[in-house]
Amino acid sequence: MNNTFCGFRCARPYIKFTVAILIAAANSACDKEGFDYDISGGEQSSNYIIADTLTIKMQTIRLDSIPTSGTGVALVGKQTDPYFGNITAGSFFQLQLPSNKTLDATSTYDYTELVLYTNRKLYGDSSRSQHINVYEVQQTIERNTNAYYIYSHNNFQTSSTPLGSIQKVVRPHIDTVVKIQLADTYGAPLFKLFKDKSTLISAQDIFLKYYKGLAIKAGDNAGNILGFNTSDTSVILRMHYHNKDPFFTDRHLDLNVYDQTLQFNQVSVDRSATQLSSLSLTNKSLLSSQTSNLSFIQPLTGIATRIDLPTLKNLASVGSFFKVMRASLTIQPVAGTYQPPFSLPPALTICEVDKNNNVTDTLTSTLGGVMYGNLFIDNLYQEKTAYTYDITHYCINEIASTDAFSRGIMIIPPRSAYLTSFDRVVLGDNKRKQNKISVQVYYLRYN
Amino acid sequence: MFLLLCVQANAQSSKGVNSLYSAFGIGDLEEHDFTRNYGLGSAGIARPSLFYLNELNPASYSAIPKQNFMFDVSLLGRSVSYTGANTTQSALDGSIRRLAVGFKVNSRWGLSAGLTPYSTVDYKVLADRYVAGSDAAIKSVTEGTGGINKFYLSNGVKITKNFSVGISSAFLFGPINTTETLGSDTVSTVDKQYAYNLNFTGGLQYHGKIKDWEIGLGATYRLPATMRFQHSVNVINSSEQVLYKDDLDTKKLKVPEQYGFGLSLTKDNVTLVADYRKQLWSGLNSGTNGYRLTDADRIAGGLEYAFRRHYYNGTYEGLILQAGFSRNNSYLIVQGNHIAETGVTLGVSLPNRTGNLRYYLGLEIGQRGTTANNLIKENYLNAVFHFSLKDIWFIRRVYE
Repeated sequence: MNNTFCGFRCARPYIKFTVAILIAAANSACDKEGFDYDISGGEQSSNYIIADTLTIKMQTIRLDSIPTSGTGVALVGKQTDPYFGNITAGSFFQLQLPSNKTLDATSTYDYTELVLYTNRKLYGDSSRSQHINVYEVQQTIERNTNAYYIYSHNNFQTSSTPLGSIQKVVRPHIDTVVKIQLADTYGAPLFKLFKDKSTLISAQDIFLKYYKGLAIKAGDNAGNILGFNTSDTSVILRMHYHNKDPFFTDRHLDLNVYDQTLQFNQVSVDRSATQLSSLSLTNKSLLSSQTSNLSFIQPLTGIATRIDLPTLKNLASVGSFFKVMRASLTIQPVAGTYQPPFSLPPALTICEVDKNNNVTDTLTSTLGGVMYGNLFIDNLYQEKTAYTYDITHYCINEIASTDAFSRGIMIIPPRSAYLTSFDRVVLGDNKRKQNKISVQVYYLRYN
Repeated sequence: MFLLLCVQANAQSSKGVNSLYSAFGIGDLEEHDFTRNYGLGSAGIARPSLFYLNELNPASYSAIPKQNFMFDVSLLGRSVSYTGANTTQSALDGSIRRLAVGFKVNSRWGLSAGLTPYSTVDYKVLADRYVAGSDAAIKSVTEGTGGINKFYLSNGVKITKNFSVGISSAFLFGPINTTETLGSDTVSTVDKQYAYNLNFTGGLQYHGKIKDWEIGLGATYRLPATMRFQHSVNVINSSEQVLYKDDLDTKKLKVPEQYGFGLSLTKDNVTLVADYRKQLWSGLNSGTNGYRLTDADRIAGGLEYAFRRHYYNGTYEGLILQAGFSRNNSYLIVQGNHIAETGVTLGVSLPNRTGNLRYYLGLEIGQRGTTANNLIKENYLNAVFHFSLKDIWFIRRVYE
C-alpha cells in the first residue's frame, strides 16, 4: 500500500526546497530602495499639498499686567531701546531681622552699606555707567486684594531723597558685587534699636511696621539695566560696627530680604519715540503692517507677538477628506536688531491665546514636549536666524474648532525667563523680503 | 485551504523585487510557464501532458497516462539587478509559482486543476511632488503590491487518434494595492483594487507521425473578457487604522482575446519546440499620458534531448536536457518605449529512483526594459524548481 502512494515521504524534497526558498524570500523582504520615477501621470486621486502662502495676521500686543514679584531677581537701571522705548526699572523689597541680633555693650556703629550681587546679566551697553539710588520705602509693600502677585506697574511711596547712591561702570561678569553706602541718618538709628534691644526689633511684624523696606531705583545717569540676585543672602543691608577689642575688628550686622514673594520689579516704559507709541490701555494691538512689517516681543515691558491664521479653515473646505499632516512655524528675528548689547532670548515658547490674549494653553510638539524654538543664530549674515515650531496640533485643532474656541498663537519667552530679563525680539512679518515669518502646512486632501 | 495558504505565502514572500513595470496596467503579466516547458523558453502549446501538467494548452490533458495522478509544484528563485539612469540596485526573491493536480477521468478525458499567478504587482517608486507656487519638493513613496491569481480547471478530451480538444476555465482574482506616503509622514493613501474575472481558453492539439518524425501541432484561443475591480481608497495611519474610506465604482478592464500556435517535432531523442502567442490589447482600454497598452506577442522555442526507454506500457524518460530562448513584446508602452523581454533558458530534469517523482531545474538569463526616459533595465537570473509527482491511482479499488 505504501509503495502505491508514498505521501509525505515523497513530499519531503518539496518541503525542503520550499523552506529554502521561503527563507531566501524572508531575507530579501527588507525594505526596497525604490526607483526615482513618477508613475502618477498626474491622475492620483489624493493630493499632498503644502500650503505656504497662508495669510498670517501678525500683531504686536500689549499685555495688561506683568507679575514681577517673587522672581528672585532685582532689576535696576535705565535703557533706551530703539524699538521698545525708554525703559526704567527698579526693585522693592522688605528687610529681615537677623537671627542673632545681640550686640555687645561696647558696640559702636561705624557705617551702613547695601551689598548687591549681580546675576551677571545686563540689558544695554556694559561700558556705560550705572547709577543706582537707594530709597527707604514708606508704604507697606503688599499685594492688592485678591491678587497673587505684585505687578510691574505697582508703586509704593518712597523717601524723596535717596539714602545712598552709586555711579560707576559695572561689568557684571567681573564686578559681581556692588556696594552702596547708605546715609547714617538711616543706619545709625537702626543700629541703635539693636543696641538698645528695642521692642521694635523684637519681632519681624513689628519691625516691618517701622521699617517697610528698601527700593533701588535708577538714577538719572543710569546707562543700562542690571540684574541682581535677591534670593537667600544675596541682598545684604550691612551695618558695620566695632566692639572695644584689644585689636580693631570690623564686625557687622546683616539684614537680608524678608519675604521673597513681596520682592518685585517696577518697570516703566516710554514708547513715545518708537513705532509702538500708539499702544495704550485702550489700543492693545498693532498690526505688523502698521509697524513697518515688524512685530515685537519684550514681555517685561508688556509687549508680545500674536499670530493668527485666518485662512487656515478654508483649506479644509474643499475635498471630501482633509488631514493636516504636518505644520511648521518659522519666525525670524530681523537682521540688525540683535547685535550686542542686545540679545535674543535663547528660548521662545508658543501659547494658545483667546480673543482677549489670555493664554489658554502652551502648545506642544507632536511628540508632546514644550517647544522652545530651537534658536539657530546666523551670526554671519543674520539671514537665517530663526526659531522653528511644530504647530501640527494647533492647526488640526484650529481647523476643527468653532469660532468661540478659535485661538491665536502668542509668541513669548518662557515665564521664568521673561520676568527676569529684558531679552527681546523684533520679528519680520511675511510681507518682508528677508527675515520673514512663514507657516507651512502639509496636508493630504482626497477629492 | 492549502492552496489559499500558498497564495498568501506567495503574496508575502515577493518583497525583494522591485518591478517598475508592474506599476502599469494590471501588473507584470506572467508569460512564463513554470513547468518543464520553462527550459524551452516556456514554449509548449503543441506538447502533451504525458510527463507533466501542461496548462499552455488544455487539449494536452487528454495525454495524462491512465490511472495516474499527477501533482506539480513550481518554485521560483529570482535574482534581479536593476540599472537606471542614476541607479543600480539588486534584489533576491523566492516564491511558489504553481500548484497543479491532474488525473485521467477515463481513457479519453484528462482533467487538471491548479493555481498560478496571472500577474504580479510589486514595486516601489520615489517621486518628487511639487505644489504649484512652491519650489519645495517632497519625496512621495508609492508602493504597489499584490497581483492577480489564476485558479483553473481544465479538461482535455481525445477526439480521434490524432486530435484532442480542451477547454480551460479560469477564475482570476486578487488584489492590487497602491500605497502612497509622503515624506516621513505617517498617513498613507491606499488605493485598493480587487480583481475578479472568468476566463475561458480553448485548445486543440494534433499528434501524428510522418516517417520517423513525431509531429505535434497546437492552437489555443482565449476568449475576450471583462475584468472587474472592486475599488476603494483608504486613508490609513501608521497603525493601519482607517481614517477615511471611499468606495468607488467598480472598475472594468477589457482583457483581450489571445491566440497561440505551437509546433513540436520529435525524432528519436530530440524534440524541437516553437510557440507563437499574441494578445490583442491595442485600443481596448484607454491609456494615460504615462503609458498605454498595446498588442503583446511572444515567440519562443527550444531543443530538448531526452534519454528514453520504451516499455510495453509506455515510455520511461531518464535525464532530460533543454535549451531555449524567448522574446516577449509585452502589452506595455511606457513613454513611447515598448517594453520587451528577451531570455535564454536551460533546463535539466531527472527522475528519482522509483520514477514517481521528477526533479526539474530550469534557468533563465534575461533582460527586460530600457533605461530610456528614466526607466529601468532589468537583468535577471531565474531558477525554477519544478517537482512533478506521478502516482498510480485507482489501483486500490481494483483489488478491493
